[in-house]
Amino acid sequence: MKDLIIIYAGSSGSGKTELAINQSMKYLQKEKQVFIVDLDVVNPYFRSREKREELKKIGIQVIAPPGKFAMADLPLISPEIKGLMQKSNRVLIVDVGGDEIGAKSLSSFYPVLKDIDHQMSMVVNPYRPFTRNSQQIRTMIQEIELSSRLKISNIISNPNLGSETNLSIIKNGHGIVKKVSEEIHLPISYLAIEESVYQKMGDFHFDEPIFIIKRYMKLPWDAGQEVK
Amino acid sequence: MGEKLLMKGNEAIGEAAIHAGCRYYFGYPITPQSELTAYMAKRLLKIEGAAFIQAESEIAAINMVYGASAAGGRVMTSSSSPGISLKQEGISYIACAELPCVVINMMRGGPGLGSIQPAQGDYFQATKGGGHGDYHLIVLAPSSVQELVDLTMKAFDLADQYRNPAMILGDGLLGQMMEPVEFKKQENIQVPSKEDWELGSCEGRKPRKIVPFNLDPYELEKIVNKIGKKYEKMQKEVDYELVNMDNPELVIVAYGTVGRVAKTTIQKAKEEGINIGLIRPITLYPFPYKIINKIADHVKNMLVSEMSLGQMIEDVRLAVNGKAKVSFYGRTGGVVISPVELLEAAKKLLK
Repeated sequence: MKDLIIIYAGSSGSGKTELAINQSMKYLQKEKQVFIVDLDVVNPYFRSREKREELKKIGIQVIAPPGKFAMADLPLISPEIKGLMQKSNRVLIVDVGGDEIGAKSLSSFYPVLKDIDHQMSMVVNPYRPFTRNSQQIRTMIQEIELSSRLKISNIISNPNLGSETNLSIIKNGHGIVKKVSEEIHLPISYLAIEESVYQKMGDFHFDEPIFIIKRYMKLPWDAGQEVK
Repeated sequence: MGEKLLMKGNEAIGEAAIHAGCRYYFGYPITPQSELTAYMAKRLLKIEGAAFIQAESEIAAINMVYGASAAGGRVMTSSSSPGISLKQEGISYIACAELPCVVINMMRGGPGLGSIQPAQGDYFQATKGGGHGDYHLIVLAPSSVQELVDLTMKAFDLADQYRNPAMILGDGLLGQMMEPVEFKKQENIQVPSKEDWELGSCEGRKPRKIVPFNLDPYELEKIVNKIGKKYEKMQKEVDYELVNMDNPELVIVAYGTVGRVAKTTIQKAKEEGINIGLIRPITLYPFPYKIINKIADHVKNMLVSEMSLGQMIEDVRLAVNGKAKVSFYGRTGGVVISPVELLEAAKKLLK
């Protein structure tokens, strides 16, 4: 059993929620108690709480405001979170809201987290408007660290243009992320690539480990959406 | 430019406005369009001579738009359904004063405070006036993030060309979802100079005024008739998209998000051997009456689908003028129609 706390921060739309869901599924293969904490008080849509029922079925618990409060645009933070952070024998994946504004909600957990082992990952997609070059990404990292009161320990490279992602998009974007990593001496823990893009990649090699992800936050017109 | 970015609809509108030369934004945040207000704050504050104000209310914001437009600026405001209701008096004043501006409405569930999920219940409000008096807005209805960009840019040109407020009628889903976009240079519509009417400095000329009233009924009638003539001219701006119109058994009429959903429905129908077409109005005012009327000559089954109780269907019925059967499928409250349920609704009609 592991006592892990993994926090995903980053600019809005950088891919934190998809990574949180994908990583929680990976941990579920080895660990019994896997939780996703939906700390997103910025976005009104496309939050991990939307997948609460589906994830519960496979054994992942999403911690988010209860009932219809989950659908509100209120800055609600569940009292359970603190307790879960202090508990042992569990993997806690924290999905933070975007930008320094989203990261602010983390600062209230600083008194708890400062004494508990945790890792905070900065998810970077250099195709997002405010993290397009190393200068902007460094600024974003600083702002998130300031407002969350926590230190970022590693970078997750997630370069993509949604449905138009291909190998050259990934190569160019990943190059920007690598530059930041070297400049500020923050390691890249892995490069995230969506499965359909990965399949078309051929035998191109990246230095960093690759984490193949599946998209869970779909649009109503995407395939596989059910009627409610 | 030409470089692609992954943007949320709301951010993309903001960048498109800046590309179109918009330098003034006044607004008040409301879910699900607050990212647009935030984006304008971030970007405009860094551009010299530009102004961003988070107003004390939607009413204040729309009246700031009136002022900036009267001074000759390219100006925008944005909100979501309840906030747009608050702006209606100001929009009517702007229409009467013949001032160009762009108003963004990223619709959410209504009526009332409603919900914060996407909806299309403001069609009547957008296309039939919304505020008091005789006026129309130019209303454009995008159905992708790229189209949000292209139509926002176009809205500024159309507003200037007709000296009339233009509205982008989107919804929360279009505002929140992310898609790749690029900011292409728009083909230049000839935008008339504002020199002969804008306020600005009156050095060397007689003072001017721009007012939304005339107390003499005969004079006000002249103004209203002049505005009316503009709406006749505007009809040539009609725009729409036709999909799969090679002898379809049934045609779906839908705009915005539902237009997007319908495209998946058409694919699914094809897999089952059913041939369904789509008319997607891109301008909601002026409405594409003519093309719908023409299509009704050979397609006898039309299914209007909206995320409302049925509003655009009234315009479709006017267009069809009894030549085809017009049915409706809708969801309300903020529920987004799925491709599967739309296909089921179509199949029921074909039985």
